Amino acid sequence: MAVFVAGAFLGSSFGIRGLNQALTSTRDLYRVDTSGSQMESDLEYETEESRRAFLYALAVTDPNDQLPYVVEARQASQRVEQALNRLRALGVPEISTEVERFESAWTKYDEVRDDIMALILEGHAAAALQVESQRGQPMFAAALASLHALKGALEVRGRSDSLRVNATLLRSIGGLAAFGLSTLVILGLLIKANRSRRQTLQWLHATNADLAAAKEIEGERASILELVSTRAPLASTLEKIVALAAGRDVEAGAAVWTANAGEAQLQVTANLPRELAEALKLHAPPQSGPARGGLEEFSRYSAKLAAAFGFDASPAKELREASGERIGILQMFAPDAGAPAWQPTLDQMAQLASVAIENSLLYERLAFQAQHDTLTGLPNRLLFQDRVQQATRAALRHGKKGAVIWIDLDKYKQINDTLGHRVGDEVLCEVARRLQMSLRTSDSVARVGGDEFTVLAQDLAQPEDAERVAATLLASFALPFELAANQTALTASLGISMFPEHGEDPLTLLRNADIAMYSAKQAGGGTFRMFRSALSDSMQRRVLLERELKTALERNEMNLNYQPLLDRNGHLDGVEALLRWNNPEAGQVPPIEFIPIAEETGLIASIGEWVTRTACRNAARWLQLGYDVPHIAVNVSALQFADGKFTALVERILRECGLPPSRLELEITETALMNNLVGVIEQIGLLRRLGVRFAIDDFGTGYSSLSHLQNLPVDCVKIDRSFIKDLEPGAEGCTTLVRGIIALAHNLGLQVVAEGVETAQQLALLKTLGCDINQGFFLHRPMSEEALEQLLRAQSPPTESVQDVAEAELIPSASPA
Amino acid sequence: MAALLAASMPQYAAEPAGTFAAVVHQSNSTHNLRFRDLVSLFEGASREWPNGSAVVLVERDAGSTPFRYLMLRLLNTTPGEYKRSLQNIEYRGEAPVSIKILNSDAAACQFVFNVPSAIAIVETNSLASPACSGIQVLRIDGKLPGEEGYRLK
Repeated sequence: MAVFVAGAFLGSSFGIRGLNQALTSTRDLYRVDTSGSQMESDLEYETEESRRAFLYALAVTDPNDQLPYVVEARQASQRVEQALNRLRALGVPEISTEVERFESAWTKYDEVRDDIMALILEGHAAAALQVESQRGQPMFAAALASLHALKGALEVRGRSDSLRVNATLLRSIGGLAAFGLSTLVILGLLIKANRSRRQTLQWLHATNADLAAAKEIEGERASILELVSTRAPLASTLEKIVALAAGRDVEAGAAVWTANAGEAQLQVTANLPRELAEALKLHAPPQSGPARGGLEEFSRYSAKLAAAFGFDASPAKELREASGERIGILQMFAPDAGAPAWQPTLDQMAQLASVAIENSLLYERLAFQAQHDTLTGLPNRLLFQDRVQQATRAALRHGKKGAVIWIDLDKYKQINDTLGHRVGDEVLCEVARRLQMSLRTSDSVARVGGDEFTVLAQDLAQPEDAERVAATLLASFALPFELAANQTALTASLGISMFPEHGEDPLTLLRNADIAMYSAKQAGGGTFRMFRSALSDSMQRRVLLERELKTALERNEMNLNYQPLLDRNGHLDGVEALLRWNNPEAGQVPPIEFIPIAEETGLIASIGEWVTRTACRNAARWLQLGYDVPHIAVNVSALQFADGKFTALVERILRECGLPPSRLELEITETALMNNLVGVIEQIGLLRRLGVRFAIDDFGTGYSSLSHLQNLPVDCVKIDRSFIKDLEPGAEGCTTLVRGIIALAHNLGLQVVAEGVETAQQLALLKTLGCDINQGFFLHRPMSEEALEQLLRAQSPPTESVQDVAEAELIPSASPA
Repeated sequence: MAALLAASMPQYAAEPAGTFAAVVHQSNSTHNLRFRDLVSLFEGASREWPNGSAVVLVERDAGSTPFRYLMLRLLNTTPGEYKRSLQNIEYRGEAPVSIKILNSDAAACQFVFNVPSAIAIVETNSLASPACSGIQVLRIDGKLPGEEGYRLK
């Protein structure tokens, strides 16, 4: 008995210890199995969630729409971090390496994704997609791989725990047999605990299955959004979306209509009998199309159709773009007996279909805008050139002729300047309409510039046919235009170039038509001219310059040279900024040739602003460097004063550049002053009050009245170089004239500058006559910015006092209060 | 002169009231801006941060108080003039000014939080919202909102 008792005692001790170990192992297994699996699921879910939100952000364009997704992606990332910390807190050594690996991979992906999101928000979608495909996707794949490794490590650990429990249980059975009933009771408890564990594991498996289903949905959504962001064809994206219906319920199908010119157009169907799909396609309810409202009527109509085939229909779901406009309709169908709960799937499909259609429409619009003029809706230069290219090839193949006609409105600028841009735009739209009405459907009209249109006429037999087309186009201008409640006559100048005679490529044909148009313009406008190779070189050059001038600033073809002005003692009094234009085709073009063109075409405003800003910026920089340049002289055209905003512009430039007003001298010709005396003088007065100096340029060549001279608000007179050229000892007439101008200017309190000083004799004579400042090749040739800086360095070492004095003279910054 | 120009400027909305803050990304090394430099940034005259990254201007929707403050007080211009001056920058062939329009101060703050090179002007009342945490409020001429002599009001 004692043996049995001892055996029972030993057995019970052995059994209890075994039981204790089994219980500890079971708890450990439960802790790792449940907590670990749950956290791993959380991790996987949040990882996908972060990715999904990021892909949504990529699929929309407005930052206001992108931001919620960006915030969502960041929050999901934070939850990933939290799940990782919880996993780490479990203290399971077998998974610590995998946790660290995943964290490292995720952190790398997270950083790249932040960069991509910044690019998305900045509007650089293309760059974002590139970084995403080159770095984002591989890093995300690496993070997912680490996560799967972590999951595997957790499963290995779970299996090893399970084996350990089983072994311990077997060991304890021997002891428990000896201990009898009490042990049986304990065994019963163990079995119950084990059943509970199994139930928990079953519940976990069920939860994991739900999570897997949710992940599958998210996976489908993500892959559809990938299709959208990679611009897959709309039909294939919509097919994938409507296929979701069958994914939820094997018998359910769906159809998507898009708005096409106000009517519903069936795009795709999925999982529907062919006959029903055909019926929906053929009998779309035309009077209740997507763009016209009547959603309920639409629903009833298609439900009636579906019923004829034994199908139930869900309520029609409208698809809207961000602006609220309806862009399509979605509807689900299922056999009578098995109508599913529509709403969740319908909502999900509608959201995705809206994004897909909206993006498709956006790309269509962008593609259209890239090839069309937004104001008139006509093809732009790019598309026109493409059409000419095709037409010339076809003409060569079939031995036919065609023509390119260049149309320029006469005096359109006057309409724009006097009646405003809105009226000007109305004119352009009306011209576009009339030109289209005058042409055959096989011909094309395009808008290639402000008031410039081009026409492509094909299948012509002889040049006279092209002239007939031009005459018809001219006739379309015969009726007056209704402008600002008045009727105004408008004419145009047309130039014709024929292909293949006058060129076989679009650029040559357009250039020759432009030259011919200019010839029509020279003839007084309101007519047309055929291109002839004999058209003068000067005309061709004029057309070339006008065309190239429009983009000269954009292409950085303009720069400034600087010519020093010296006082009687040879000290620097200032520098004059001289505009230079170097065009690859036209070469070095002198200002006397291109400034009149700039004035005629209205480009003088932007060119003048660029010159003033560049000169002021450099002058301010020289002051900052400590070089004492007393002033910089800039030539201005009277046309720059025309809109009355020149004073504000100069003040703004001075403030922007940090140049004291007294350091700027504006030179204006006396002819310009005389033409618009009152308006210009008023603006000059405002600028002089600010401290800006003014000089009359080329004095003596215009027709100024001496009586006006005393009233002109200027500081300086620049004697034209034509007087200085003939100045030499013995040339009494010229010397007398110059002496008279100097005396007159001095009596009026004006400083005198002599331009074009080219010899030592001229300089000596000018000093004798009392001229204050001299400028010319004999003293200094115009030089580049760098050369001038070298000269300044050599003549006057930089001093800080110059900078201090200049800062004291600055225009105070505007205060917002 | 300035008064003369101001008098000729059309008044398109009521004077904006309140105090405003210029906010940037936490990592932005610029902590202080001269008032003149802030104006220059929003005029598009300066378009790069000292580290060479392109400035992204974050503006509020037209009609909002920060937008009216930007136009009437900071830039002393009208939306039309402002648009034209930015178009001129592009016309001159210079790098275009990058502008994003956000519908609320919270969205503007979130944008700045996510884009390192962004700068926004928001009402100081909005700074207390959670969306505006984690971003940097710039000193203007050495002063923060609420300090004596602060100019953005």
